Amino acid sequence: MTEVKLIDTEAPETNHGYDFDLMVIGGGSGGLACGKAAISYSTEAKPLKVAICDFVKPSPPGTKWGLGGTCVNVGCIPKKLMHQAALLKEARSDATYFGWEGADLTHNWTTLRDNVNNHIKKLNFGYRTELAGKGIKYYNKLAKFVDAHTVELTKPGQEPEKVTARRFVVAVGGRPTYPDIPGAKEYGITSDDIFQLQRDPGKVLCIGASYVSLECAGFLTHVGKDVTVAIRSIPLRGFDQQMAGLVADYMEAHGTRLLRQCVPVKIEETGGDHKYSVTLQWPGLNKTKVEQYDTILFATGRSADIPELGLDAAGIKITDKGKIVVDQCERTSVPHIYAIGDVIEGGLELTPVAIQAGRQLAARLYAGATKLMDYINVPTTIFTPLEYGCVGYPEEDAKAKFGEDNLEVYHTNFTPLEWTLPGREDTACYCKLVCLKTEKEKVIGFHILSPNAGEITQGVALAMKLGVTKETFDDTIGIHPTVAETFTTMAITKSSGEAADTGGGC
Amino acid sequence: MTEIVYVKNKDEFKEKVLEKSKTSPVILDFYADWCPPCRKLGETLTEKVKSSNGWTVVKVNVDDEDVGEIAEDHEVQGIPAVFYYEGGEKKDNFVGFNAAKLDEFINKAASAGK
Repeated sequence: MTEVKLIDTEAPETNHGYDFDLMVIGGGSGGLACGKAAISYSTEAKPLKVAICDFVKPSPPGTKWGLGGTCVNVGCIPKKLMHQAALLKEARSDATYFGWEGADLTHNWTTLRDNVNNHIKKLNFGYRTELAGKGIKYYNKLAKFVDAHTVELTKPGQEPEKVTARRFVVAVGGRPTYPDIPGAKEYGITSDDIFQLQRDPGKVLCIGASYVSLECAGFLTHVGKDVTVAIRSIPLRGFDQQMAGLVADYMEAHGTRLLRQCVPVKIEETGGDHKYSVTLQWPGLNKTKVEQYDTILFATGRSADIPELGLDAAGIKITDKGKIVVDQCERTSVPHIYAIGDVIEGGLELTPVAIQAGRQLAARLYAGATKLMDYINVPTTIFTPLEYGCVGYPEEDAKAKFGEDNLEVYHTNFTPLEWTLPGREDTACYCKLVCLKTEKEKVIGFHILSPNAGEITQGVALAMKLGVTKETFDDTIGIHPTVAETFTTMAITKSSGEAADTGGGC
Repeated sequence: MTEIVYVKNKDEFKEKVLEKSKTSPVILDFYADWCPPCRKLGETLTEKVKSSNGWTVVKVNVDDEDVGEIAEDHEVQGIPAVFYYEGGEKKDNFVGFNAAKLDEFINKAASAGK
C-alpha cells in the first residue's frame, strides 16, 4: 500500500516569501473552522499568518448576506428556526387538548423573517470580531487564482489586490442551480432568497424533491401558506426510499400538496405584483396545466461555486459536474492547495462534515496530526414537519452491498405519548434498524421518523461508530416515556411478515 | 435641537469625530440594528442630546459596508461600544448598556461646554 503523503513539502514551512502561510477561500462552515484551527497552532517561535476570504455574489433576485457561509445565512440556521415556527403551530393545535384555551394563533411572516435575520446578522458580526480577535486577516473580497500561489482579490468599487500564500484551502461551497426553463431565473427564487423574502410568500410552488424543497415546503405550509411541491420522479433521492415515502405521505396528509412525476416547463408573469403563471407538465400522462402562484422556489440541486475562481490558472482539476477532485487528505491536484466542504467530489454536503474536515486538515498541516476524515456513519436529519433522522445504510443500499439474505430489518410504528391526547395519527412515526446477520446483527442502518429525530439520532450515531449490535440495543434499558426508548425494544422483523403497526383501535 | 449624527465612512469619521471633538466633545456609539442593548442605549442618547450645549453624538452601524476599518481601529469586539472623544482623541470607553458610565459621559460632555 502506497504511503499517503499527509502534507505537501515542496516549499519550506518558514521564510517561504509568501504573504500568508495559509489562505482560506470561503468563509463558511469549513473555511472558518479550518482558519480558526490553523491560527490556534501559531506560536511565538513559529508564528502562522492566516487569511480568510469571503464574498457573496448576489443571487439573481439580488439577495446577499454576511460572513458565515451557507449554513449560517441561507441554510441550517434559518431553516431550523423556521421549522421551529412550524412546530409551534402544531404545538398550539395540540395545546387545546391539554387544557389551554384562547384564540388561535395567526402568523406574521415579517416578524419571523426579521427576527431570524437579526439573529443571523448577530452571528455574522460574531464571526467578524472572532477573526479579528484571533489575528486572522479577513478579506471581504472575491478571490480568483492567477497562478498556483497567487490570488487576485476584487470587490466592486475597489482596486484589485494580489495576495500570495504558501498553502490554500478552497472552501467556497455551492449555490442553488436554476433549471433551464423560460422564466426560471427572471421570476423564480431559491433557498438563497426565501429566508429574506421582503414580501409575504403567499401561494408557493416548490420545485424539487430534495430535502431543501421538502423542508421549505414543510415550514411554509405550517405557517399558513398554500404550498404545492412539484416532484419530477422520487422524493429525497439518495435517502432510504421507504422513509422518503413516509416523509412525503405525512406532508401530504398535513396540508402540503404534492404533484408527483410533474415538472414545470414555463413561468410567465401574470402582471401585477409578483403573480406568476406556471405551466406544469406530467410527461408520463401527457397532461399539461397552468397554475397561478405568488412565489416559485426552485430547489432542484446545487453546484459547486467554482466559476470565477480561476481553477485553470492554479491547475486545480475538477470533475465534469464541476466539483474539485481531492484525495483522502483533501489535497487537490496541486500539492499545496487543499479543498473541503460542499465544493469537493465524493464528500457529504453537511456543515459538521466540513467543520471536521477543516479542523483535521489544519491539525495535519500545523500540528503533526495524522487522522483523516471518516465519512462512514455520518448522521443527518431532515427537518420536515415530521423529522427524519438516519445514520448508516439506507435499506436498499445495504441489500445491494451485503445481500438481502444477510440482513435482518427490525421495525415498528409507534405513537409519542404527547400525541395521544390530541388524537394524532398512530401510523406516522416509524423506526427501523438494518442489521448485518453475518456480524452478530451489527446495526448498519438506523432510521427514525418522529418528533426530535435529530436529538435521538445523534446518540445512536455514537453507538454505531463503536460498532453496536442489535443485542446491545436490546440490553440497553429505555428511558420512559420517550420516543427514543422505542429502539431499545424492537422485536418485529420485516422477514417475519408481521405488521409493524401497533394496532389502530382502542 | 441637536440630533444624532450617523457616520458611514472614514472621511465622515475624520470630520465628525476627530475634527469636531477638537471644539466640543463627541460621544461615539458603535451599534447594530439587531442588538437590543444598542437600541436601549441609542434611545437614551437620542433623548439626552436634544438638550445638548454643544456636544454631539455620532453613531456607527457596524454592519455598514465602509466602516470596517473604523471598527477595527477601535478594536470593537462587542456592542454597544461607546467612546468619549475630546480634543481629537479618545479619552474613555465602555462596552454594553452601562447606564452609570453613560451618565458619566453625558455629564462630562455637558460640563465641558460650560
